[in-house]
Amino acid sequence: MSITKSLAGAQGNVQSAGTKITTRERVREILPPVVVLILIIFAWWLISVTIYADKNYLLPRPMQVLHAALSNPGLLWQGFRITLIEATMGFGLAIIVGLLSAIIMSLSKPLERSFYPYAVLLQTVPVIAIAPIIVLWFGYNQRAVVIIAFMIAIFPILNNSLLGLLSTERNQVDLFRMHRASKLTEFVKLRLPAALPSIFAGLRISAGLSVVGAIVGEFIIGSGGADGGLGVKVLYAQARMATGLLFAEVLVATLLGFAFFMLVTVTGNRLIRNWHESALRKEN
Amino acid sequence: MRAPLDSQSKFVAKEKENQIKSLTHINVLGASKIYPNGTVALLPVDLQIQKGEFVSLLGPSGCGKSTLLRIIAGLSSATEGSVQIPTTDRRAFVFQDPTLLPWRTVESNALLVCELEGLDKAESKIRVTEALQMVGLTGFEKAYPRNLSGGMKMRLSLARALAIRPIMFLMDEPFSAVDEITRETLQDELLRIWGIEGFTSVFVTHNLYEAIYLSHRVVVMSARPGRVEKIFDIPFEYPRSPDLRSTPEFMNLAKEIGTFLREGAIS
Repeated sequence: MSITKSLAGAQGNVQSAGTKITTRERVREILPPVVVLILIIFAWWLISVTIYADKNYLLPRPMQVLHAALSNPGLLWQGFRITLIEATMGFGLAIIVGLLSAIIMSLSKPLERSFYPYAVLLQTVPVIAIAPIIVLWFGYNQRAVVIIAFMIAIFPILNNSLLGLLSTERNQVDLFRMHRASKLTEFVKLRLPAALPSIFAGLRISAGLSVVGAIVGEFIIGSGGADGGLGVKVLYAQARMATGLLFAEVLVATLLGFAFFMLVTVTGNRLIRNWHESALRKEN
Repeated sequence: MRAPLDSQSKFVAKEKENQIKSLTHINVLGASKIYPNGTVALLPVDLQIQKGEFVSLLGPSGCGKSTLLRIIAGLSSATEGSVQIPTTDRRAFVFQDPTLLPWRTVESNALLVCELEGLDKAESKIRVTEALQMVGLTGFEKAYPRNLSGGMKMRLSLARALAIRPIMFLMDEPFSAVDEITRETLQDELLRIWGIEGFTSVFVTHNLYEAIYLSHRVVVMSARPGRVEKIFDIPFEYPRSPDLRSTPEFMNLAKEIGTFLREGAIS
């Protein structure tokens, strides 16, 4: 997209003093959450060897989870891969359809008035509740899973993008109108770049949701555990009371969602890092 | 009512009126603004502004000074009456806030209006360099607006407008958000640039000292409903020096207009 290029091109060689970070600052930034993680794992271990010492089938010990993960790498990798593909496709569809709808609605007031209430209303429909209908229509297959992931992921993108595209500063619009800029110029040079922070706020939410959607979809299509995604494998592990494996699978699913989220966040911050507050490193 | 550009034209004879007419750059003919809900923003205004003249619209908030400027700029339409201006002349508008695009560098922001006007790229680049130099922003080309002070942002906003070499320069309280010292510096710079470029200026402000210091004529407006009360001719010669602000003549005129403003606000 040309706008992406022009933004990247605009990143000159002037960097504020605040953007240069030392190793010490980085340690100070990373250390606290790492400490919290260690404390949580420690608490988990403590509970699993005391209260649940006889009931590790309910709460496995950390080492059991690690062991389960290491002894089933193929299974986890397969689940990861399948869920990754489903979530990516659902997310991709949500980006395309969500962004395009937001752009079209932002350009036409009548269309916005006609469809926006439904866009909001549809968000309140528990998509999980209509997931079975989608399975009914598309069959017990991955297509249905992709559609469910798509439906869960689209609304934050649509809403945030539309909000961003519609909240361009009045004076900036006047400046463009004053100099007889075309609608297209106004969109490419003003509305779209101004909306990028909002668009990425929506994408960040949807990134995680698309993984949730894929797993919910897999729960519903169920089927034998052999070649399903993480959702299917979680159900299968639960049925077999393989709690260690179950926990490992949940962790892998979490990692997948986190990776999605980070990918979008990093991309967004790269695009807007020079100008938007949310992407700036805290100075001093 | 019509202001002379030089002392001789005070005695303009009737036969010269046609010539004066051709000098009229902005001709506001009974322009008024009434909003659909019935609010009267501006009662009909007649105002002739000459080529190269510096006119300020002065008044309290709600007096319709910004409305009048926006009508002149073509950003808003008059409910009745009209504004006649040569359509081919380049108009530049400076807003109260700098209206910079935060994702563009200083240089790229300064280029924006040239881009919108479809000017030649190489030519625009030269003009932008000149405009940035005029406002003292040379060396900051690659910086982003967030790294600039309030005064520098306003300078950039001016440079962006100047880069197209406007024939008509419309400003809506451009210096109201900067501190007093910066404001006076910016006023002097604006006068200096205007002296070089010679564009017709319409300057909206609520600061009467600013209006007097900058203008040939000060159009005093009052609120509820917005209307033109009186037009004051400012007798001081250009170029004006900062010392002018503290002369008795300046203070007396400020006092006179100030009194008039207060009475207008009460009535």
